[in-house]
This record gives sequence, C-alpha cells and structure tokens, in this order.
Amino acid sequence: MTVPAIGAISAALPVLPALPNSGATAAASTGGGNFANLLSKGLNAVQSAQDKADSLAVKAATGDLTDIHDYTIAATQASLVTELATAIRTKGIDAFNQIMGMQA
Amino acid sequence: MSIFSAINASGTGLSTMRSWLDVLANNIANVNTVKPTSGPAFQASYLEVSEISDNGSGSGGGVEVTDLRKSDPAGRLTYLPSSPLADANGYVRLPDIDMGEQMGNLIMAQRGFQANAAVVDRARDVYEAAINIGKNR
Repeated sequence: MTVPAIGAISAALPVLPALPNSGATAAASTGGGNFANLLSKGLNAVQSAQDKADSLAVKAATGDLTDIHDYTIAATQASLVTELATAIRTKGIDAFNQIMGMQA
Repeated sequence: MSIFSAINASGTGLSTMRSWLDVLANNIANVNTVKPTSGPAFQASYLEVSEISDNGSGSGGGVEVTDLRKSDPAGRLTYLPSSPLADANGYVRLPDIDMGEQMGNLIMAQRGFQANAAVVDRARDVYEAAINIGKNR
C-alpha cells in the first residue's frame, strides 16, 4: 500500500521547523516569524491529511470502509499535500544553498 | 474553501452516485417482491439531492442526499391465485417499479460516478502541475 511510504516521508519532514527557528526567526523576529509559522502550519496539514488516509486504510483492511472513494480521495490528497511540502522544502534548500554559495 | 475544493466536491458527487447505485440495486432486486393485499407493496426508493452551500465563497461545496422518497405503497394489484400470499379473491400486491426506468437510472448513476472519478483524476493532474512549476530549470 502507498501509505507506509507517505508515512516514511512525513517521518523525515518534521525536522524542518527547527531550521528557521534556530537562526532566521531570531534575526528577523520583527517580521513575526511568518515563514516558520506557515511552515509548521503546512506540516500540520500534511500530518492531518496522512492521518486521515491512514485511518481510512485501516478501515479498508478491517472491512469498515463503506465508501471506497473516501480512501482513494484521502490518499490522493495526502500524496498531493506531501508533494507540495517536499516541493517547498526543495525550494527552501535551493534558496539556502544559493545564499551559502554567494561570494564577494 | 480548502485547497482541494474540486476533489472534495467530486467526493460528495461520488458519495451521492454511490447512494443512488445502492438504492437502484435494492429497487431492482425487489422488482418481483410479492406482498399480501393487507399491507403495502414493496416501495421503490428515490433519492432527493441538493447542492451543498459553500457559504457564498463561490464555487459551491458539492452535492448531498437530503431525503429518501418512497414510491406508491398501493403498488400494482395483480391476480395471482397460485401465490400463498394471495387474498380470498386471488390478488397480491407487486411493486410499481418500471424496470426500464430503473435501468436507465442505473446507467446514469454509473456514468455520473465515472464522471466524478474522472474529475478527481483531472484535478489531481492540475494540482500536480501547480506543484511542479519551476521544477525543471
């Protein structure tokens, strides 16, 4: 099933919020730490989408699932949200690497 | 409105079409159900559906089943003296179900389900395209 793979990605994701908290938000605290808030909010959305898909997968396995499409839709949303999160993470790391590669 | 409005709306469509399919299956299964004249005939079920309002945000929230209507309890009075359920005059009640209508509705429910499933797939492709913007530099 696809869900364990999604779960594995989510296990790797929660490392992210530590990044902006350590340096960026302390330096730019006047900005309210918006990016960090958005990031953790987004990750919570990823988590809840995956939780929903997971619980529906369990229901499918135990025979309690009444609507097949409930699970497939939840799984689709979970995978889309995860893709979005990884895309944002890649963009963030790209930006970080570009800044680190700057030379006078 | 969430970020997956299209998928959520199609999901409600899928649920409604599935309910319709269930109801039609029960109607067709009971097309020959004989009842005594002392009680009501088998009553075919029909769904009453309406749109889900999205609190004025524009695109709407999908569709939902609001009620389950039953057909005429009188049914069709049929002369069937060989039936053990027949009354003194030999009559029984058969359900007033038009098989052609039910089969037509069945095809509409099937196609409606497939259409909603296709919308989910297309919406997924669209969202994925949005996610992939700027990926191939």
